[in-house]
Amino acid sequence: MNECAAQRGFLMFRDCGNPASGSCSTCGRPMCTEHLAASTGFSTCLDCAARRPDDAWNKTEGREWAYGFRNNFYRTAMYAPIGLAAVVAADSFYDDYDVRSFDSRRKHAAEVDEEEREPGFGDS
Amino acid sequence: MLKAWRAYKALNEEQKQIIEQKQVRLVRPVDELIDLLKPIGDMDKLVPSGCTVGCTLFIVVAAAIGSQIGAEAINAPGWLRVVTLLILAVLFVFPIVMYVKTRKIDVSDNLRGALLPMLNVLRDDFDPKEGMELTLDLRQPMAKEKLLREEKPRERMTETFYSDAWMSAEGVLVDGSKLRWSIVDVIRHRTVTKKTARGKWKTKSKDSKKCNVDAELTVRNKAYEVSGEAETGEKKSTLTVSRTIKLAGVNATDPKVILEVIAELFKRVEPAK
Repeated sequence: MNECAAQRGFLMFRDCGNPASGSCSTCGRPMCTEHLAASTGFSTCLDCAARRPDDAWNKTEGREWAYGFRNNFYRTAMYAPIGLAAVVAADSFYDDYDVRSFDSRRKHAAEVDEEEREPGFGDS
Repeated sequence: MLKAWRAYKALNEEQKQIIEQKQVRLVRPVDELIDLLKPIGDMDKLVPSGCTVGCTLFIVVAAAIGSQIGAEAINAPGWLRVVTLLILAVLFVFPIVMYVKTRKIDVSDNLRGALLPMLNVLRDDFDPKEGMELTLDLRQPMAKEKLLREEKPRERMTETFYSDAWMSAEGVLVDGSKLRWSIVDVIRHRTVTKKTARGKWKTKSKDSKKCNVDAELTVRNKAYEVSGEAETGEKKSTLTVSRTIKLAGVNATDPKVILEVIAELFKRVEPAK
């Protein structure tokens, strides 16, 4: 099953992690229910809903408002979120946001401090 | 007014306690914080302002005078006049009673105007398993307990200052970084009395505030390269930022203003290569 292609987060992006339940009628990306906009009858993803003209997001609330605010903030405050997920660097949908990604994310994953590991789990 | 009261009655005991105490410290995951505080914000939206009550009373008084003039004109029986006046008296007292009641449940607009939008925006950045510590003061920004000092810069001008430390928060982000911030609004309420050309004395007041935002971010050195001033330890680095933003009026601070300060910290870190 496809995974939801949305990136969650404001200061940093990460994969949604939920299985997709449909797709966005605007960008065509697979989406979970959480990332489909209620104001569009769950046909458009929150990212596409956020990019609608006339700041239509400002009339919404909750998660939909937050994604609209996020899109607006990146444009006006010149903020580039930090991409924690590998997929965000390859997804051209987020090119507008100038995501700052970890190039060597896998290397860092392997270098996790011993004290940060879960107790009881050692190297095999 | 009734809607506000009904919304208050529909809240759970914990939410009612928050409204009663107004100064609270909450530790729980951000999603739970939103679930807890959102109904309070929704209720607060329904609480009428003093202007609404004043207008209602004005309409009732006008209706009372109008009904008496009308009754006189049509030569209405005495009992009808008494009944009409009784109904209007009830309509006059009711908004006053409700206003006194709802004033007690009124919380600072910062809750629904700044805090809840901020939590909604930042909810996915915080570790959903970790508790976020939130200290709130939901008393009105110009409550007498928040009075800082009073000055008379010149004759017939009074400036009253209030210090409103309405929020501080601390939490662990999804990448293990720690973010904390605190906000203190210093409000200036200026009253000026002037004599007009017609010889009348008029008093005008104007409010402004300085929003002081202090934020701190602690990141792992292995994950991030820090630029600019930072307290660098063996494994972690801590960045701080303090900003004072001047704003007109005492309305809730725009969440964007606060988030811009927090984002400044993240602009100073880059993913380690």
